[in-house]
Amino acid sequence: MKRIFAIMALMISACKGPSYAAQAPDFKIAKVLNAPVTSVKGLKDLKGKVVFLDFWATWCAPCVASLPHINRLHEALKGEPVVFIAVTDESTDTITAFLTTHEIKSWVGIDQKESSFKAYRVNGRPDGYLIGKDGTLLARIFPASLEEKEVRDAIAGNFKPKPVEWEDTKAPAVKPETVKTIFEIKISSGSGKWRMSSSQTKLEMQGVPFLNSIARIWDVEDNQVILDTKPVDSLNLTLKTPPDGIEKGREVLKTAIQSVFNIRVMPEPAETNVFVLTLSTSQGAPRPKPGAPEAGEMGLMAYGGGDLVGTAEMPRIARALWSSLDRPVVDETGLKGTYEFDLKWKYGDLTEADRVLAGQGLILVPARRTIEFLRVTPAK
Amino acid sequence: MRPAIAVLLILFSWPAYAGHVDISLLSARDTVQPGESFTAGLKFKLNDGWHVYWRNPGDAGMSPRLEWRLPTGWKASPMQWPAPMRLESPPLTNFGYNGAVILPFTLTAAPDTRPGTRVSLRAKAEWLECRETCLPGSAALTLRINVERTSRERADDAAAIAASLASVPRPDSGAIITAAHDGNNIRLRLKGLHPLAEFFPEEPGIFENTRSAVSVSPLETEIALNPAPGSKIPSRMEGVLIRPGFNPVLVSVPVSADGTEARFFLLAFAGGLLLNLMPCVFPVLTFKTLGLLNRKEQNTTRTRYEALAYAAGMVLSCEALALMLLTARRAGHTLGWGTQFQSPWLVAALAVLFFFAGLSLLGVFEFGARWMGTGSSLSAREGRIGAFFSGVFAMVAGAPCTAPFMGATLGWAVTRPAGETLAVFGALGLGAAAPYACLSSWPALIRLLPKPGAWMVLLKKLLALPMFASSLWLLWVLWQLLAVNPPPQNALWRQWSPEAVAQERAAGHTVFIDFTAAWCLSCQVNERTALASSEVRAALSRDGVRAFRADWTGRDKSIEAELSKYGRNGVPLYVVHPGGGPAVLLPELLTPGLVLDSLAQLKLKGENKP
Repeated sequence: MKRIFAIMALMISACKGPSYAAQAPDFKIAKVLNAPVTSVKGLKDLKGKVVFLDFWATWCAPCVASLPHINRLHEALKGEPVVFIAVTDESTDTITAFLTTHEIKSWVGIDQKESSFKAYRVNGRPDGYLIGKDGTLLARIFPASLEEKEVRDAIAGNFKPKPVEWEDTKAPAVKPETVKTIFEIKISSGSGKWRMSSSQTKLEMQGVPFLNSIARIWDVEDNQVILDTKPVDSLNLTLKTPPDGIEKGREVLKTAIQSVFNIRVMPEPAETNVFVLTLSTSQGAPRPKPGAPEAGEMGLMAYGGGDLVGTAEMPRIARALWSSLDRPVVDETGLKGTYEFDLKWKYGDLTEADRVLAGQGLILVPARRTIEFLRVTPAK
Repeated sequence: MRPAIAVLLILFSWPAYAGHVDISLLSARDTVQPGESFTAGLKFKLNDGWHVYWRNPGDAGMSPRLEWRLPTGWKASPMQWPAPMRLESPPLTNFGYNGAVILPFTLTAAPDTRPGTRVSLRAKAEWLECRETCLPGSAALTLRINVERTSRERADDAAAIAASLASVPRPDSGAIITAAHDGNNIRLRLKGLHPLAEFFPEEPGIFENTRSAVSVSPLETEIALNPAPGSKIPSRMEGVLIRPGFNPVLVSVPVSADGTEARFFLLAFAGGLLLNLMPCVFPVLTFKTLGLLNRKEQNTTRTRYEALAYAAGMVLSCEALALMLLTARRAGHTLGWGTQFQSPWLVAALAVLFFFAGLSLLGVFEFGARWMGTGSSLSAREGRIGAFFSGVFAMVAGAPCTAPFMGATLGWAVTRPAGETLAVFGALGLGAAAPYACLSSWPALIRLLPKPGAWMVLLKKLLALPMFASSLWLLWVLWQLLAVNPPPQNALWRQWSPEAVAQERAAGHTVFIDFTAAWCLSCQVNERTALASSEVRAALSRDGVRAFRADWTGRDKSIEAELSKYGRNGVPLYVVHPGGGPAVLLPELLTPGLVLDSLAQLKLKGENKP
C-alpha cells in the first residue's frame, strides 16, 4: 500500500513542474560581446541562469526596433540570475559598427557558423526562446512581447512551459482552394500568340503549330516528326496533373490527341545520315567537363544555331546538337552523368564546330544509323 | 524521369522555400531578333502587410538582388527602381514596396544568335521580406526566350513592365530643385507649392530617414533634411523626389553653402514691398501720394529729402521694433510682429489715433497735417519732419498686416546676432519705403500721375473711411481682449492645446492648426476667404482630419512657445500634420487650392502602384 502511495505521489509530483518540458537544444556561440565571457560553448556554461535567446540581425528592422525593449528588461532584471543573449550571424565588424550608433545592453552573440540558428530552426527574425535554469525549453516568445513577469516566473521556477512547435518551412505554402483540379486535359484549335509553359504539374501551350505540338508532347526534336496529315494548323492545349503525375498525364494526353484528331503517331525507325558523337581517342585528349547541377539549374540554356550552353546528360547534348548541325546526332560516348558546356561557333561552319567540340574531347563522325522518327498518319 | 523534362519551358520559378511572396521573371517579348534589346522585369507579389525594400532600404533592411547566368553575348542591364514608399515602424523608417512591384531592366540578345535558337536565361534572386518578422528569400528563376527572324510581343507582361517603367523616377528637367545647407541641416528647395512633397535619399546612412518638415512659401517649397547622427553634411544630394500628382523625379544637385543671410535680407525687402499692397499700408500710401500731388511746386531736391526722411521714419520704427523684440527676448519674454496689440492700452491709444486721423482727413480739423507732412504749405524742415512721422505712422498702421515672406523671415531674424536682426528689420523698412521713395524722387513718375483736381478732395475724404474702419476694428479687438468671452465653440474648429494635438497625431489623424489673432488682419482675411470656402470646410470635416484654432489675441505663453518651435514670432501661421506626421508650414496668404492640396488624402499603407 505504501509503495502504491509512493508511486502515486511521484507521479503527481511529476505532473506539475517543468520536468515534462523538453530540454532546450544545445548550441555554441563562437563569440560574445558585452559579456563577462568571450564565447558560449554550450548550455552547460549557463546552467543555473534563465536564458533568453533573441535571434536578430542589423538588417532586420523589427529586430532593431525591439532592442530597446530587451535593454529595458536587462536593466530591470540586473542582478538576477538571467542572461539575455542577442544572437546574430553577421560579422564582428558589422556588429561593432552597429554598436557605435545603437545601444545594446544585453550580451551580443556572434554565431557566424549558425549553430544556434540551426539548433532552434530559426527562419524568420526576430525570434526568441526562453530557457529555464536547468536547461529546459520553456517557451518561444516574440522578443518585443516578452514581459518582465514571465522572466521573473522563470527565475522563480514557476513558469509553466509551453510546447514549442516549429513550422515545417521546407514545405511549400498551401494556398487554400475551394475546388482543386485533380486532372485536366483541354484541347482546342490554336489561337493567339505562341506561348508554352510547364511545371511539375502543368503543361500549357497556346497557338503552337501542330508539328511542334506533337514534338513537345512526345518529347522529341521537331526534326524527328514527319507529318503525313495535318488536321489543324495550331493547337491550344492544357494538361493539369497531381504532383509527380506529369509523366502519366503525358501518356493520357498522347492517347487523347490521337483519338481526337483521328491520327496515329507511330515511331518509325529509319536509317539516315547522322553524326555519331564519340570521345576522342588520341593521347592526352581533353574530356568534357562534368556538370554539378543544383536543383533547378540543370538543363541547356541555349542551343540551336551555333550555341551549346548548359548542363545536361550526353544523350540530351546530342539531341541539342542536332538542331545546330541539321543532321541527327547520336550519342555513343558511353558517358553517364551530366556535363557542362559553354560552346559557340559560327552556324554552318562545320570546321569550327569540329574544332570547338574537339576542345571538349568530342568528335563527330559521319555515319549511318537508325534514328527513331515519329510519323503522324491518319487513323484507318 | 527523363532529364529532358527538367529542361522544359519554365516561366515561373520553383521557390527554394515557402514565403509570403510570389516572385517571377516577366518579359515584354516572346521572341526576339538577334541583337535586339527588350524590356523585362522581376516581379514581386506580396501577401498582405509584407514588404520588400528599395535600393536604399532605409534604417535597416536589404534590397533585392538579381544575379544572372547568361549565355555568351547576352546582356542584362541593372534593375531600375520604381518610386518607393516610406514604411514607418517607429522608431525606424524604411523605404520599400507593398502589394506588388516590378523592377524593370533591359535584356539584349547576342547579335550572332541564329534564328530558331531557344534560350534559357537563368537568374538567382535574393531579397528580404518583412512584416513583423523578416525572412531572407532566394529563388532560382528562368526566362525562356526564342530567337527568331521576327520579334513577337507578350502583351500583358509588356503592359505591366511599361507601367512599372513609367513609375521609375526620371531626371529633373527644368532645374526646379536646389539644395543649400546652413551648417546644421540641408534645405531642398523646389519651385511650386507642394505641401506633401517627400524626399528619398539614394544612399543609406547620410540623412535621417523619417519624413521631413515642409515649409511652403508663396513661390517655392522647402524640405528640411537632417543629417544622420554621426554623419557630415554631404556635398551632393542624390535621391528621389515625390510630389503627389506629379511624376517622381531623380534629384542630383550639389549642396551649396546657404547664403541664408543674403536670402533673408532679400525676402525682408520683398516683404516690405508687399506690405504696401496690404490694406493696412495701402491707404496711407495713397494718402501720401495725394500729398505729393498737392504741392504747389515740385521741388525735386526737397521731395527727395522728404522721401529720405519718410524712409528713415519707416526704417527706424522697424529698428525700434527690432530692439524691443531683442530686449524682450533677453528678458525672457517673447514679442513678435503685431504683439503690441496684445496690450489693451496700446490698442485703445491706436484706436483713438486712427479716429483722429480719419477726422483730419475729413477736414474736421488739421490734426497732424504737419505730422503727416500733408499740409499745403510747409517749410522744408517741417516737410522733412512730417515725412519722417508719416513713415512711422505707416509702419504703425502696417502692424496688423503680415505680408508674404514676413513670417519666416522675421522669425529667423530674432534668432540671429543683434547685427543681423537689425539688418533684416532695416531691409523690411527699406522695402516698405521703396515705392513711395522712388515715386517722390523721380519727377518723371510724378508726371505720370493724374493732374490734381477736385477729385483729390473727394479721395481724401474717402480715405477717411479706412481710418474709421481701422478705429472701429481696433475697438473690436479691445473688446476681444477685455471681455471674458469663452472662445466660440465651433463644430469645425476645436480649441488648440499641445496635448490635444499630440493625441490626434498619435492616432494618425491629419491635423490642421490655425494660429490666429483678432488684431491680425491677414489672419481674419484668410479665415473669411480660403478657410471659409465650402470645399475647404468639407475637407476639414472629413473623417481623420482635425482642425484646431490657436487664438493669440491676448498673451498666451504656450502659443508663444509653440510658434517659436516653428521659428516664428508672429501670426498667421498655418501648420498641417499630414497623417499625424511632421509639420508642413503654409504661407501667410492662403488659397483654397493650397489648403486642399495639403489636406489631400495620403495613400493607405497597404496599397501600392501596380
